Amino acid sequence: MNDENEKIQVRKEGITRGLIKLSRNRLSLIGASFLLAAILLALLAPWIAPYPEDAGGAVHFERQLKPPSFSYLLGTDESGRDILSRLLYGARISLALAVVVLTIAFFVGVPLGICAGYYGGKVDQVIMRIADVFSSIPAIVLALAVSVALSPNLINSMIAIGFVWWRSFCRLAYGETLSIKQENFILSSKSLGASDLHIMFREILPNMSSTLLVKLTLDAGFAILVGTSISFLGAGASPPTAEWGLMVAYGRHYLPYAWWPSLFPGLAIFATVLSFNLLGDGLRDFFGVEVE
Amino acid sequence: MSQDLIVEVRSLSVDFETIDGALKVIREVDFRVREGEVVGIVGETGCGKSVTAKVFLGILPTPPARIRSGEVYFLGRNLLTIPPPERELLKQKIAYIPQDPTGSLNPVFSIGALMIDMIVWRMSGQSLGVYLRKKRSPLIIAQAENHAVEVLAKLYIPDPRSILRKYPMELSGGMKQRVLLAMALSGQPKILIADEPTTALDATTQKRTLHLIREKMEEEKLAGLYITHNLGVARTFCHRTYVMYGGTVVESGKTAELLDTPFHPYTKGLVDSIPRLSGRPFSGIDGQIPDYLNPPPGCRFHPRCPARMPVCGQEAPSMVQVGGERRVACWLFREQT
Amino acid sequence: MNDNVILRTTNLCKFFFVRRRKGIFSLFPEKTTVKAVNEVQIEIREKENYAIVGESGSGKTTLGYILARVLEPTSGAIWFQGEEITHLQDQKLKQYRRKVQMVFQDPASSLNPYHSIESILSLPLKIYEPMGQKERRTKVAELLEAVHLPPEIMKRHPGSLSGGQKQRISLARALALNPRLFILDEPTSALDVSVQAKVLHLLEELKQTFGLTFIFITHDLIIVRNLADRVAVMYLGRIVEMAPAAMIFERPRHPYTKALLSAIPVVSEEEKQFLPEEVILEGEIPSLINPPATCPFLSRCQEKKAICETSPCPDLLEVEKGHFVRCLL
Repeated sequence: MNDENEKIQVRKEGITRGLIKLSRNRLSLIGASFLLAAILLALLAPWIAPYPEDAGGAVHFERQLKPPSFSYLLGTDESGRDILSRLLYGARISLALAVVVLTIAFFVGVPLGICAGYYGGKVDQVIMRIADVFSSIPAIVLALAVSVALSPNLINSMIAIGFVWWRSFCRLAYGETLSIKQENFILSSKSLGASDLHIMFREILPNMSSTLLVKLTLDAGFAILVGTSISFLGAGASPPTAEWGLMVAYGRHYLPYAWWPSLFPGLAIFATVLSFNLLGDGLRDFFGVEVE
Repeated sequence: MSQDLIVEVRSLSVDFETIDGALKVIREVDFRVREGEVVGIVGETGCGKSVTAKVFLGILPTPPARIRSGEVYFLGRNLLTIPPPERELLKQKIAYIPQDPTGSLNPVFSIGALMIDMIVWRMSGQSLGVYLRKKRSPLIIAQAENHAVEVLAKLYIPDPRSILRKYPMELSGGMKQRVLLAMALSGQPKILIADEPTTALDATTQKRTLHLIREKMEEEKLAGLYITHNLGVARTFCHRTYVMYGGTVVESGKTAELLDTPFHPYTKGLVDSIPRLSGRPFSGIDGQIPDYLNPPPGCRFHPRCPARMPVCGQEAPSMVQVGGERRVACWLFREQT
Repeated sequence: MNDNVILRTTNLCKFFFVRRRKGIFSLFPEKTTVKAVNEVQIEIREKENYAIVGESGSGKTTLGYILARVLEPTSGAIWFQGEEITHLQDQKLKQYRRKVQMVFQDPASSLNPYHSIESILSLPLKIYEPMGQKERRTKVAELLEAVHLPPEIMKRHPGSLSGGQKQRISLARALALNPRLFILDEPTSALDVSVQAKVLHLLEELKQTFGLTFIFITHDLIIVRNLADRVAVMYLGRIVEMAPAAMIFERPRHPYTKALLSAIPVVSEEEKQFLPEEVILEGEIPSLINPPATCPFLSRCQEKKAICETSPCPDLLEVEKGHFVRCLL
């Protein structure tokens, strides 16, 4: 009776299909490639950096502020340290920051948002009003305040930014939950007697995965921007750490004569954030989702 | 091409380009609509009937769709080859009612705003400058408003002036469909294309809406192309019907005859699947619709056909006339006069 | 109470209380009542096919949700197999859920697109019956076989299935806990005709094999004619006519039922003889908000008399054996 099921049609598998479609968008491809390269370089930094000791506190006043040349590809900074090496180590810091911040934000914001959306009523009110309070303060200001309160260093600035970031994940998860919970399959699971936890995290959460993925990608770029800004302002990493924002801050004093100590870290920040944006946009077009 | 043919489509073939390859969605579709007659295109999900209508309306997005061959004549001109300005002018004579009335009315505008806008645009003969000027003239707006009221009243919409002030979400489904119908008819079209316009409506509203559409079409002596999957509705409404399967036309003829004595095995299967008020037993059709990526060779229905013969899998049958208006594309039948 | 009545309700009501502002400038919102289900009394016998018919706004879907205890009624009582289940909670509710399952309307949205078929069908088993993974998988394969689907399909996801297949999965899921009663909300509306026939035949088969009772909620009267034993017609939250299927089709009494019957688009000439005189209903379905106390159908009734305008809503009266009508005529 069931030839309906014969000939299960052969199509390219889900992931391959996805990659092909994604690769059709040139800009997002550029973004993705750059990021892949950046991650690779960051991971391999200790081995490929020409002057690894320069990433820390080494001081070579005899070669300070040398312009880009063959031996120092991107020049040296005010303490004579090779900028290229510092850039590579800085990549590790910035990318690590993105991971830490987003992890905190995700694991705090998303469950809260789902609970608020699912239970409604008082739970909803309490959680969302708290999120509103956090939302009314600009990210950098709040992160600065927290970072200074906790004593300014790199780790604390990461925590501070994560502290601030959870609100938008919360709001996103909340909105998605509101619409997903109307679907028939949720009703069906409820009527089967599934527990609330199961419905929230095994049924609702997967359905917002594409939205969350797009947001994570776009937010990674912004998180890095906030991180470098905080360091630039002096509330984050402290010298001699090779952090991009910090490098830009110190390099400022030598402009316009020595342009390389500020420009190259600045370009690194720019390129990284742009790549995350391009990739995020590409993913958003691919999934067809609406993200804040 | 004879005088009274409003629409003639010949050998239309359309592909869709996808990652996996080309989907051969429509193959060698022919149909025609004469002045004053209502033609139905009937078929199940995925048979290509909506795509065919969209080609005619010119709203098929052409990447990924690709018209491989065929001619689409409307009032004697081939819509696929004439220059765009002429095509746009000609398309003003085509009225379209879509499946879901809610999606077709912009929710941020009042009905009046939508209708007046449309009427003024029609008055401006395709010129943006003229349109913008006319929209600023209160005299023209008043004229357009009166025209809108007239048109709504013709469709028995109670208190048309107050409807103009309402927003789409304040109206029921049946009312929205009537407003769309009014908008469609207001331009004095030559043909009305309806794509399952009553699927989203209740049975009693559906009956009333169909009754209304038929009345208006007879009044204005409009030709009609009615796309549906409901054979009962086709019977009520269409003089002639084309049955589509897998992107091809398999049978056509006078609706009543076609449904009472279907020739093509698919049509037979379809008619037999319908439960009856008489309680007559009904059965489905085994199998699934063809994979458009690799459609079966020959007749697209042959893998599911209870009467298949070897030739069916080798060569696709062409439409042959089997008496009167009836045509079938099946190797079981041969040309008769 | 009959021995073989499996489900019955008394004076079942479901009201939704909505606060609405009259206009932008009114200070206090008015409290309005949406009477979705109003004093519904039905009795379902074991192993019968009972159809609840109506259009949008009739309350039939809400009634279905209440019977499935997805919603709780505002007042009235529901009895299942002799026990009252109206306000059950927690464990006892879970037991009820095992016996009464609902199959939802749109097959596409009834299955979580991110879960495999195996995962979807295992869910009821995981909740109610402790068993190992292997045992579960066997049971899932059994369920798939009961709905004539190949076991390999359990690795797939709903997105790759056809409408007919999805509907079968929904049925398989409902079967998982060996229920006694199925509540089916428009089981075939979203399907093509050729697939619909197969699914309906499958339902008949399942009924025979498992001894099930069905409640069909639908607007498709032709299916009702072919499958239902008894029919209840709803309008604006109330049952307006109730009778065995044959009686309703041959001798409809309520004007709304007659209008519904005449609205069926039939495929062949011979069927036209089964339809009553043609009725074209004008007007819109009145709002469910604060409905009037008179007969609910008054505003659109074409047979109304003076007495209908002044009397309160009539009761359901038995006009012939087993045939109940709510009408003053």
